[in-house]
Amino acid sequence: MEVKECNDLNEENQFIVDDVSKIIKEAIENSIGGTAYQHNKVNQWTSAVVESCLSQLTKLQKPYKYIVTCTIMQKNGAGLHTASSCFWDNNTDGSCTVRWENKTMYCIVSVFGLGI
Amino acid sequence: MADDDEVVEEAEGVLSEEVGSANELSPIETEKPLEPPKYEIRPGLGEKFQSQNVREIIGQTMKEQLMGRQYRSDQAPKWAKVIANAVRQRVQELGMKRYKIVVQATIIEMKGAGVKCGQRCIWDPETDDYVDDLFRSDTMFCYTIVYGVYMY
Repeated sequence: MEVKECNDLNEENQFIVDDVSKIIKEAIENSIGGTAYQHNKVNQWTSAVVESCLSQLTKLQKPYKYIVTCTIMQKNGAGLHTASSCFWDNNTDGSCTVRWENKTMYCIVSVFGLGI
Repeated sequence: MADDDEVVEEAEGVLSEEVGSANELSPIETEKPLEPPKYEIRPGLGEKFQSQNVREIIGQTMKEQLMGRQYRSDQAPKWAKVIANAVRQRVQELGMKRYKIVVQATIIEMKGAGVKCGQRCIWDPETDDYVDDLFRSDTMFCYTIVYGVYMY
């Protein structure tokens, strides 16, 4: 029991929201930074954002499983609401959601990190 | 005097024998042997993530919450939270041991906007899984996804 507590306080076993948030913002900027919404390209964009996030996250070399979701929506006046509910260990696991927009679209990226 | 000593010694000898036998009995009564450690790193046969059951739960919960309702921007966040919490609680009641559950519910108003969702995961495909479902009505649609991640 004591050994497990020490492990949880170790920095390697904590989900650091700031680092992950930075990674997500970079990934979005690099993939869809200056573009306008185009229906035929959205597929590529979501894949690009998600893959770039995931490759940066694995470079952190932490003992974590990651779930990355990306939603790109055209700016049309329609409303979008997301809620998430999780059953996990608060000491090691965490999530980070970044909302990004430009003139023509919204992009919402969520990263869930679950400790092994 | 010598006789007395002998008697005393015998009595002590008898006493010590009784105490000795009592000592032999008590360790067995008070200490239960620990179960041997299990080195399982995979869920057992009946313990994997139950995709079909979870999909039913998601479908039912979304219908209960949203059937017959019109999209309202002030109510939609509350509905999304209620759906996420209800799904998570019901999935927990299925009793899948050692699984961490992540539920994400999204409600989008039907106004002709184009939407694209993508997701990618780094995990162990033999133990971890996800289930998603879509609920459509005239004014909105709701997409809920549940991830089950095994804890080794």
